[in-house]
Amino acid sequence: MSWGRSVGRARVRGAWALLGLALACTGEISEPYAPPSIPAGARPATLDACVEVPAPAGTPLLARLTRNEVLASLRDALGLSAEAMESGALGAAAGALPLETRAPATTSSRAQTTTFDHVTAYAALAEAAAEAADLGPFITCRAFRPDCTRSFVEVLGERLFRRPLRDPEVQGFLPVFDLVASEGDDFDVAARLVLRAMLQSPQFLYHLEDRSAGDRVSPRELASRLAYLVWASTPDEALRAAADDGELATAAGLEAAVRRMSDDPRALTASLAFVEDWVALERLEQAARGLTPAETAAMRAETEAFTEAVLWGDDGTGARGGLLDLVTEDWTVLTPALAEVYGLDVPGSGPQRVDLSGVPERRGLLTQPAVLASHANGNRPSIVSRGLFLLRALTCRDIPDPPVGVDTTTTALPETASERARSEERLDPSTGECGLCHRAFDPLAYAFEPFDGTGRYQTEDVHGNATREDGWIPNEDGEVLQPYANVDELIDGLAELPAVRECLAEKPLVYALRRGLGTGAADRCLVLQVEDAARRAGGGYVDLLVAIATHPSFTRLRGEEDRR
Amino acid sequence: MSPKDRARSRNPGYRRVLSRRTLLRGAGSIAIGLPFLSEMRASSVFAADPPPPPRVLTFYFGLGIPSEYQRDGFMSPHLAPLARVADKLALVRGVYYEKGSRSTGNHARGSETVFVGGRRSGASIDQRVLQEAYGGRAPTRIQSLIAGSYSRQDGQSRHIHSWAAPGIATDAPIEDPKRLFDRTFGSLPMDPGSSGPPSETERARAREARYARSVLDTALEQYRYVTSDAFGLSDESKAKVALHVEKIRELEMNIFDPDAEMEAPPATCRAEDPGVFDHPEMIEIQRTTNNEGVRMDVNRWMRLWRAMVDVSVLAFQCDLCRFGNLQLTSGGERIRLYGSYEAYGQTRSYDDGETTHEYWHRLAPGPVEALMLDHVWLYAAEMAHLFERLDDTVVDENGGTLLDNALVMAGTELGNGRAHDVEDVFHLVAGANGRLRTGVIDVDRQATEVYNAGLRALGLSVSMDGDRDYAGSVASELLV
Repeated sequence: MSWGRSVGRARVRGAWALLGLALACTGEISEPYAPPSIPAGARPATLDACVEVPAPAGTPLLARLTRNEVLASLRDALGLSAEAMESGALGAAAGALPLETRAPATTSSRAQTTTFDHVTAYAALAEAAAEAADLGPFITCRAFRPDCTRSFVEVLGERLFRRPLRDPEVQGFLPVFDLVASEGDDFDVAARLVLRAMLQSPQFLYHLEDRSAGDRVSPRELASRLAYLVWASTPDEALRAAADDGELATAAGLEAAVRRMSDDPRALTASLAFVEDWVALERLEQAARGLTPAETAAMRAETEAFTEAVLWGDDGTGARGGLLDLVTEDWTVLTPALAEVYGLDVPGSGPQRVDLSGVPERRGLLTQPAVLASHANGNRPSIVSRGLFLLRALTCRDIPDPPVGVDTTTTALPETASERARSEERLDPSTGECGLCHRAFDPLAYAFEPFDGTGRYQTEDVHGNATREDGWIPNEDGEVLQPYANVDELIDGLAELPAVRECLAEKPLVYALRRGLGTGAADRCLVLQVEDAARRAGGGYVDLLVAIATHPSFTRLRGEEDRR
Repeated sequence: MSPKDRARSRNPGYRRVLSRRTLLRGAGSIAIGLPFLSEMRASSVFAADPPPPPRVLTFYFGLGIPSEYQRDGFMSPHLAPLARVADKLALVRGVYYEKGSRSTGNHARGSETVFVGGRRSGASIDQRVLQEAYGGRAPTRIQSLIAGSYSRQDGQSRHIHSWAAPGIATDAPIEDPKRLFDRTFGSLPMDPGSSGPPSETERARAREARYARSVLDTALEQYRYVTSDAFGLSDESKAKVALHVEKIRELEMNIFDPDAEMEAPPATCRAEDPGVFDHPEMIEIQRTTNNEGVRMDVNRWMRLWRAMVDVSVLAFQCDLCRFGNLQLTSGGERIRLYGSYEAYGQTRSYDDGETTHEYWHRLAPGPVEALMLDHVWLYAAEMAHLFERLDDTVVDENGGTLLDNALVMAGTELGNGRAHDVEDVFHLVAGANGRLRTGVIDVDRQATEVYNAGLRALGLSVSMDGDRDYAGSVASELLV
């Protein structure tokens, strides 16, 4: 579904829609290629135009908790330790939970298919959790009497379902006690069965909200939204109390809640998962052939340690940075093993902060081996893969598949031609029309040609061609916007682009709202407003979370453009 | 000729007879997956040959077969393998999704339109029949069996061909024969064991089973409540949750000693465990968006695919399920095949210089066309193999096989891989208990009209939520 912007329905945003594309193409487009037009007014140019834009009218599709959210919710609601989650039957059941599909985000409700594997894994997880959990705190008395049974269902249910239960819900669990009593077993046996049933119930497994009573989002529902935004997990006692005391009813209260929650380690975990999704690190182990598991683990560890240091103020200055800082910072966190890939010598054995101002070819997340290797073609660099990655990750734009009838395989170049030469051939209008599209993203990746598929820097490619790192940032029409001489200049240039700044606000919004954003005025304004608010608050990751949490699209009943 | 007569006339000694009535008479064994006894008894009393239950199996392959290669129908040289079962098939030529559309977006468009009629506009025909004929729940252990090989998972659109509701995929395809086996035959309950007084262990186990059932029943009660009007869920959201519920019901049937309502299948209904396949290419193609495609030994692929077919067909024959989709390759697949493909006494060689997708793009007389004609031959041979398997066992009391009685449809996403159009899209239909014509049938019909004919053939008066311009219109020339 690649960001849901199909050409045929004019969903491609901006003038980039002019571009069709072939992925390795050199050739003539045999039929007249009519680029889709952009609906007038679909993209308000400024924040000022965004006053009083109504929310999209459609109803969002119910979202299931992601794999990470299920596990974190289970752990936090029942107070299970990290060790308990990873060992024994519980660890095995957790390992059997299917991975999420990314389309466009791993939280997107429209990409979720509940398979038989999900259901068997949920059942196993519930059974193991019921064995591992201490139910004492949820039990007020241990008799098969209504006061004891009801109370247990209400207390445990409120924790797991993230709100007080309704009477029909409570009633639904009570027959379990009758069965256990008739079998002659004790109260705790029944309590564990109720827990198993709750963990497989839709109120736990789905982001269920009551839409039957008009347009009100309840304080507890808002607390859940906040918890999954900041922690990717269930609300805690303090957040529940804040909701019940009406503290989430104001922007100031919401901000206070987000800032308090940001000091919790769960916020760090959630941010790491988001960044890894954003730069598509799930491809690391498959894309980078020839790397050992230890090497890919070291690469991943670098990116995680760097992300933690930048976003959470562990960089020595105490400052908490934002997503843009991940791209622009000129240092990293290296272990001696990975330093070898950088051509550096790092003393000691553990990870250490290393200044990269003396390493001109490296700067920020985009030059980290984990990211470079995730967007490569085997062990070779790939201008096409990396260019598309940069286009999608930093500008939130996409390019449709190649147009019809293009021969994407022929080239006048020898096998030994460099990646850069192949790209320049594609972009040359005299060789065909491939450049119509490739010029929109190939040049973004020129700076990375010296990095092979494992993220090592080299001055010559495998054929002995000298590598180059000069190029240019294209504008929306694929024309030269700004030339750069090296990675450093590319990153400076990208950091200045409004499109990049807006995209870095759009990405977390897509995760938070669990849907791709549309091209209509409402979604467009949402991005502009959140970006503006986050920037004015300091531009940190937490500032961005606050800007999202306090925006009406997050706090009110949600809509969704028709994206089918 | 009635299906029964046809069944008798073709290889009478070859076909295994596995009728439901035989199963029910079987030596005290209990037939899980068969219709509820009450339903069976009722129909047996009042009719000698009760009508076969509605079943739909769709088969999908990527990239299409250009119309020029279908010019001579089943006598077309590269469709030759299909001639073996041609007397039961209709090759429907002239089906379109949309006229004049030529775009690479048609991989997704066609993949989402096939078996639906409109792009993600409603349920696919398998699910439409499940919903209409059974109210959404067939009396089988598995509601829908969605399986296949080599799909691109970089987007839903290219590998999902069964939809429960607009945009709501019925299931993610199972792509591993071992997992398919585990889901179907591997999870069948064991024999009930001795009939003596139960031991303490047996009593404890029985109690645990009652508890486990209570847990699932209690959770299901919550699903019922949540999908009532209590939370104001949209129909779309309810459809998504309903698919979850069906999987829980299936789990329930796997775990428990089935009550009187379902019986364990007889010994003849046991698939061979296909074991674990070593298929790194398959894993890679599922996860990668690398457009250079994945190299694949055609023989390894075919061993895997045929294992999928074996388990799936037997699951249908044993009435473990009545609805499903099998996918040979996904829309816009980019596989680079190498090695020799052998079927029906002939050998075809593959050249892995390019992916089949790229070869279709470059289709022109000469060596590329020769390669692609061999590839068409593979499609035809694998379709023929599937149809022969569906036809090798009598499953119903009217003497018919699945190919006779079920609605079987084969389709794809493109008309012609060179033009990437969605006109003249290859379609085969069969079965429906003799209600469908056979032979080569030339039509000028949007797919919705063809699928509506399928619904009529099964005796349903409802229509597909396909292309709105063709709502309710039926390609009646397909009907007997």
